[in-house]
Amino acid sequence: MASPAAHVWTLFWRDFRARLRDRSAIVLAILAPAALVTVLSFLVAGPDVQEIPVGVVAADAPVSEALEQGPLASLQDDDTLTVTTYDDEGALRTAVTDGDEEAGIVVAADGRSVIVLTNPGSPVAGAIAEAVSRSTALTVDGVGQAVVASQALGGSGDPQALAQQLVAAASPAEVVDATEGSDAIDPRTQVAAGMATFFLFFTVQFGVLGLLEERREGTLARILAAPVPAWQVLVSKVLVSFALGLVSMGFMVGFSSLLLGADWGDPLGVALLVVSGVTAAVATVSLVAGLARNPEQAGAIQAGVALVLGIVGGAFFSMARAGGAAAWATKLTPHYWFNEGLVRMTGGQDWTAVAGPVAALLLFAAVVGIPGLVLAGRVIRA
Amino acid sequence: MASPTLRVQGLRKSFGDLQAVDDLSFEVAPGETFGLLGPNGAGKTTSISMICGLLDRDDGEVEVEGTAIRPGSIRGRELIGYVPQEIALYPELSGRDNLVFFARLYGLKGAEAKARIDETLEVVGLTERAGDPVVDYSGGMQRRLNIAAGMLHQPRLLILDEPTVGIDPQSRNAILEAVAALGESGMSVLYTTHYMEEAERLCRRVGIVDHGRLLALGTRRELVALVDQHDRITIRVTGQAAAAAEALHRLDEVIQVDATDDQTLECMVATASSLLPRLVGELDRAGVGIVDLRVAEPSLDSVFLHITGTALRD
Ligand SMILES: Nc1ncnc2c1ncn2[C@@H]1O[C@H](COP(=O)(O)OP(=O)(O)O)[C@@H](O)[C@H]1O
Ligand SMILES: [Mg+2]
Repeated sequence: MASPAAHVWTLFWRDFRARLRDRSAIVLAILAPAALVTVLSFLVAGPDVQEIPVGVVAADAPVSEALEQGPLASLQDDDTLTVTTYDDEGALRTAVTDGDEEAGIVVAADGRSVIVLTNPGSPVAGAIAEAVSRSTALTVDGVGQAVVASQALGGSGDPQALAQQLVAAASPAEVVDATEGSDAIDPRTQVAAGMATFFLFFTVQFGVLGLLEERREGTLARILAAPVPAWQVLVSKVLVSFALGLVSMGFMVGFSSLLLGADWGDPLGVALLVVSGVTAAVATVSLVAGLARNPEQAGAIQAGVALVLGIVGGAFFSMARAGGAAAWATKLTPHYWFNEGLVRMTGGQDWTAVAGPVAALLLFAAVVGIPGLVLAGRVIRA
Repeated sequence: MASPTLRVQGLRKSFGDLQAVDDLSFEVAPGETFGLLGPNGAGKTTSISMICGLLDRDDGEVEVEGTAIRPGSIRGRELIGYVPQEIALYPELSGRDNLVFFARLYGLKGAEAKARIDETLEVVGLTERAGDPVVDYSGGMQRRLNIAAGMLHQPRLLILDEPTVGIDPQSRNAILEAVAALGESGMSVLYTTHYMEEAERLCRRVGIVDHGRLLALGTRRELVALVDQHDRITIRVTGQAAAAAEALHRLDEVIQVDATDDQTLECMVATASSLLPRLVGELDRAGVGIVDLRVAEPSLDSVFLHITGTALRD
């Protein structure tokens, strides 16, 4: 008589090998998430052409120095701005008017005022230039009287009056680089994780839902007529789902890291998140298998569940910032906790940072998966 | 019957209001091929599912070689070979790989498994096509592989559920011959069918089921006796059929005789085999030459019609 492990392996390998040759499984596990993450990561992170050109006319003054060494340098470093230096204000005005520069910063010869030249066609560039200038001017020691004026080209505002106004209202504006905060992950990784977890919930259906297919095809009865206990069949199907989930997630981590520049964080932490995320997905599909009457119904339910969990869980856009019920609901999804695990590892945190999210994923898996396995076990006994 | 291979006692199953199997009891002796004959919906498959331990039963017992078969327990499963009514194979795998898979579930591996698989492929005539995916097989070939997968592990009892449904006459014949050979090799076989001629050809004893109930059980002759049917002898003679009929009337065992035309006689007799020598002698004495003589024993068809009041249909 064969050992339980030998039976489970025989059952697992027959199914798993078939799935690897099954086109629809490969599409959902590999091709679709890879294609989507490629497109989306270019959309969110954007190629370098989005750097904003800004011209500067600098005087020999502390403000100029602070500007050039402080915010301008750092914005240039992280590819937000391209800074070009002009000799005189006239040339810069022309460049901004012509659109060669999207905004201009002129530090007056006396070093006491800064004029920001904006182009109505490029409001974002103007806002950045203005914010940069204002914060610099107000924080430079000894130039408390420094003023900043914003002058929209083609407009008729009086620079001096505008400067007075600004100073009166001044509170130091901040230019915060959203990609550098400790509670955000870079957009490419976020997109890759979102797509990977989204498609994971489609991919795992290929193991456990096979129970319903085999029941209909009659091969399940034939297996159970042999000296094979029902639990071994269930375990083998769960393992197929699990293995397919790992293949899909592993591929997505590797693909996005190597080809798209994603940075998932500490590999051990990522591995823990992947294993517990796949466990949660397999638990979900087990419950669906236990509740559905036939393979078609199960496939439809699983697709609906994957879609809802994916959207609510923030696979496409974060729900956490939506507030209210959405922010609450998103925390019920495995997708949210997977992403949250990655977020907590940013800023150089090691794998221990994922403990909370991993616990949440495993809790989800237990709550959904235990009744799921009981019900799926009935599919085999019926 | 001394310690039967299969003993089924008081088996019952209902689906809601429908009593699919109703107090079914029978035994299959070692080496016997037993037929369960009944129309579609009679409860054959439901009975077999319970016998194999695949379906919970409402009541009753099943024993194979003294081992109780129960759902949820794998005891005794290796004693049974199960050939389901539908083709239960993996179409993407080759015929051989299907057999390798099922062999492993019965604990067969290595050289032993290979030998058993080769032998079984030979029996069902699929050696040549063993490497091809099952999806490319004809319906008849799939049916034969379906049987092969159930008999690989040399079970004590092979259960075949309508194994010839929907295939060409040639494949059907090959399957019937293979089953007959298994019976001769000493394996016990439980064979369900709704084809009268298959039951007559393969099985010494037959149980007739309808609406979940076993209506009659016995050898063909016992069943026929049940409905008081007679053998029919058709004789073609050289002439004077009326005179010949007159002569045959003198034999006690002849129940009825008619001359259907000048050269043809139709006789009803109780048992043709014992009567034939005297019948031929009587015609000879009457000076009537015999051109042709045929004996038709009563078929299960008429038995079925008699018991259920309806003809067995396909
Ligand atoms: N799972 C089931 N649920 C409800 N009714 C069933 C089920 N299986 C079989 N039946 C019914 O039980 C009766 C016997 O079916 P079955 O055993 O398949 O007959 P057979 O094999 O002799 O054709 C039929 O009326 C069938 O419709
Ligand atoms: Mg049937």
